[in-house]
Amino acid sequence: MEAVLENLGSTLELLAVSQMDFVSKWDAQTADRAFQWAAYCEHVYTRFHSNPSVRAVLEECLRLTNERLCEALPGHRPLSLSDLSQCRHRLLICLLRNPLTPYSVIKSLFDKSLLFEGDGDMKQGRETDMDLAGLIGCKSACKILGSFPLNPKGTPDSAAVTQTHVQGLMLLQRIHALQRLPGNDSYNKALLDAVLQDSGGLGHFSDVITASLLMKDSSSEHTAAQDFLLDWLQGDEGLLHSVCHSLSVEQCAKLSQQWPKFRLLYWGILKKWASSLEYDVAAGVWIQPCDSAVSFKTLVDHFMSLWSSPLKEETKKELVVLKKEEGDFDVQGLSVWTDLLIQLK
Amino acid sequence: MTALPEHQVSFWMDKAVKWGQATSHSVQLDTTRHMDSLKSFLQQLLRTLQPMSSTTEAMKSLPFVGQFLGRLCWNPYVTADGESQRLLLQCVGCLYSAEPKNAVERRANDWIRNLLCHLTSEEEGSVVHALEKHSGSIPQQYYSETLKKMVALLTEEVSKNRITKSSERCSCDDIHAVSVACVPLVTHPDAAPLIGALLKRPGSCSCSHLSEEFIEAVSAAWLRRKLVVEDDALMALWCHSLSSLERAVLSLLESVLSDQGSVLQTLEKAVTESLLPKASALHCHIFLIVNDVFRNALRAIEENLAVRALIKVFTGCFLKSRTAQKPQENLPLRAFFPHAPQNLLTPLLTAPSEVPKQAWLKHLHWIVKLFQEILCERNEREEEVKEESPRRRRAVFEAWFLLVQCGHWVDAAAELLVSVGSEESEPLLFLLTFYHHPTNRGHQSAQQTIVAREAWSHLRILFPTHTAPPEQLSPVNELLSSTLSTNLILHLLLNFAIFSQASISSVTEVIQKVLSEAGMRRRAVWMLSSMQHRLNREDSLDARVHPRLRTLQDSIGPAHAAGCT
Repeated sequence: MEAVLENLGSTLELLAVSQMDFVSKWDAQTADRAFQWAAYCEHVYTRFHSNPSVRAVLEECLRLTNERLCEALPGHRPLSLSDLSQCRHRLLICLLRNPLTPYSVIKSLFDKSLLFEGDGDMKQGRETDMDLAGLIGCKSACKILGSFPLNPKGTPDSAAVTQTHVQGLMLLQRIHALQRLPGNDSYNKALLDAVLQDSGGLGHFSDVITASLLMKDSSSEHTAAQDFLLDWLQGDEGLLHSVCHSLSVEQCAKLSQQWPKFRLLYWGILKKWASSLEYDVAAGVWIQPCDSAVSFKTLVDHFMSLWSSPLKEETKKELVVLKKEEGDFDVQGLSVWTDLLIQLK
Repeated sequence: MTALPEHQVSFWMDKAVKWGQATSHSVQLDTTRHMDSLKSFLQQLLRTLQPMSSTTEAMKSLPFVGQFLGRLCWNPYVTADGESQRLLLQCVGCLYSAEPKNAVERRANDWIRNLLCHLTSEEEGSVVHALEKHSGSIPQQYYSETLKKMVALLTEEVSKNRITKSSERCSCDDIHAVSVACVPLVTHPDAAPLIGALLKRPGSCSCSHLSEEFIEAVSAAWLRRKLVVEDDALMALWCHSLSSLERAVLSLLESVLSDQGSVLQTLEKAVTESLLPKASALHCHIFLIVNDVFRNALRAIEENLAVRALIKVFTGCFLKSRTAQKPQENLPLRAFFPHAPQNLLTPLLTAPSEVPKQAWLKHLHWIVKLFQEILCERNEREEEVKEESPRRRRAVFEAWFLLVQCGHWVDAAAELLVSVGSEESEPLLFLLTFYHHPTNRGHQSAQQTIVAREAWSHLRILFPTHTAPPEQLSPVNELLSSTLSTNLILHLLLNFAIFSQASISSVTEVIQKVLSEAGMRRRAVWMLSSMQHRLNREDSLDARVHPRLRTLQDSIGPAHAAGCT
């Protein structure tokens, strides 16, 4: 194992160097060897990443290497276990992004990885070469097919396109693959955190999460992964708030129907939003005291969506209870629940 | 170096600008419409770029090239298609300088680095990028997996729409859009299920739901052997695209007519792999169309042995496919041969292998009798009205066409002629003559029968002998060189060579002497291969026949077989 860790460390150093000006000393052979080592790292990752005890050792090795590199190379971006899984691709991108990469290195990349003869089949003895032509082809094909609406006859829904659906599916599979083996829960959670972070904000990712959670004909493995995803959402109230905020009211209602766990969380959020509203007596309207809260109109929209779903009775009952708790007034402007019920009826 | 025409350059530059990233449906449609011509233009561009000594020179003589290629790299319809992507990248590769000499070349290099970055990675800070990065597999695998899932999803959608009730909104627009998107993907193995599902979707409403470009792309990919869809998807294509079917038949015909050397030994394989016999057995109208193409080919090149061999082998493969089907799925054979005289169907469509050899002569007599009746009518009418009526002519042609389709019986007759006596030979010679000379052009039938009999008599004398004296060879030579009946005499000659009792060494000697002329050898090679096809089918095979046939084939050699007339 020690030798493995040593190799790993040196390869990560290579990866770091490829982003620096040292790379100008490389030639095509250096790059070749670097790619071979990168392929080795990918192999190490595949072999060990789902084994909690070995993973801990790998992560420790990564941590130490990162520390060392940060000291030696200012501005070094720490590398993660995910970087290990795509080491050759990372190296490629580093070389392509580095203006100091020698021309001969890029030229040889071009000749070896892009201009495969024929259909881009892997040739004997060239297993560490990447099939970039194949990658570009698949990536472009996904772009072409990704924008198809999945339910053209239903309501137009920007989230219901092939790409989002498949991303949701891939996410579930990824979660499940780790779930199958014991001791991976925190790794799994960290992975979701990392995806969220690298997505550049919740935005489209909340659509993916929704797609994951709404995945129909769920096999038991999907259900377990969906459950895990919900737990992850629950673990971070800020995140949950943002998710409910960025999803459409229809999506929230759909999720509430399918997942009792989500329904409870959603209710909690709605209650919080509602109770944060203040009544402006002069203007006769409910106003939001701060920017993070939602408007009365938005709140009505959310409830309206639940109201027109099979959850209507339940919603009504709950609102009536809340109204009673606040004095059961029928006059407007005293309790937000009273006013919501008036709007909904 | 040939310069690129100005109008072409501005046309394609204009297209590249208009297409952009191909986000609107009209642009997608336009891109797919120009896929093939774009590929030829890129090919031309590549040929222009390759001999250039430097990027500076390239930029000077083709100032548009950078912008043009760069824009195309952003169009997924161009980069998804394997061939156009390869051409595009090769062109870009030509502009990369390993040792840049000036600022222009350095800038070009930087630009190419960025282009490659764009092509191989996602923008950071996007969900696609994040999911790919943390997928735990290499990007190529991740995208391939994603693509498979998208394909599965859309396949389901496309197949589900199959049961769309007519009262609901017609889904043809959606299907059409999917088919346009699939144009660059037709040869992508991961997309095969979707391509198949699109093809198998029956046209449920009057509007044509698949884009023409899609049909064209699938059809072309099939002909280039690049298509990976299931057989029934391809057959579905033929069912709703007549031109695709015709092209498939013509391509088979062309391969037989042009590339004899290799097709010859594998004619049956080529025919089976064309899937046309299988499709014909399942869909009667496909069989009728295929045979219409054959009919026309035969009319144009009546004496071509290759076409005849193809038709015979095709019919054989068709009958085999048909037998393999469940009987309840089969239409009656009559439906497949609507124009042929119905009384001929049973005797001709029965394979010689299904009849005991002792009964062949009787079976052939029956066939001959039926043909004679048909021809008798022709001749009588001819005397009456001095000219054949078109209807009559058509009937004779159809009878003859059926004989070509079932050519095994002609071979059987030729084989029997080697051993029968003079009296029994008459009807067999008649059948052989009719097969080779169906028309009575210039009332030559009688004359041709005489020639056939004469040849037969000579061959009978020639073949039992061990060494053939030159004076006995010359009449055969003479007959062969007469343009009248070359094929007929060759047919007889080869049957004698294989089935007579003469030793193989003397036979080979005779054949080599007689078939000195290359054109004649080629014809002989075709005939032997066509005979072989029948002999391979027969179980009770004379053990000496096969080695003799092979020796003969070797002695006239496939090496001489190119270009048959």
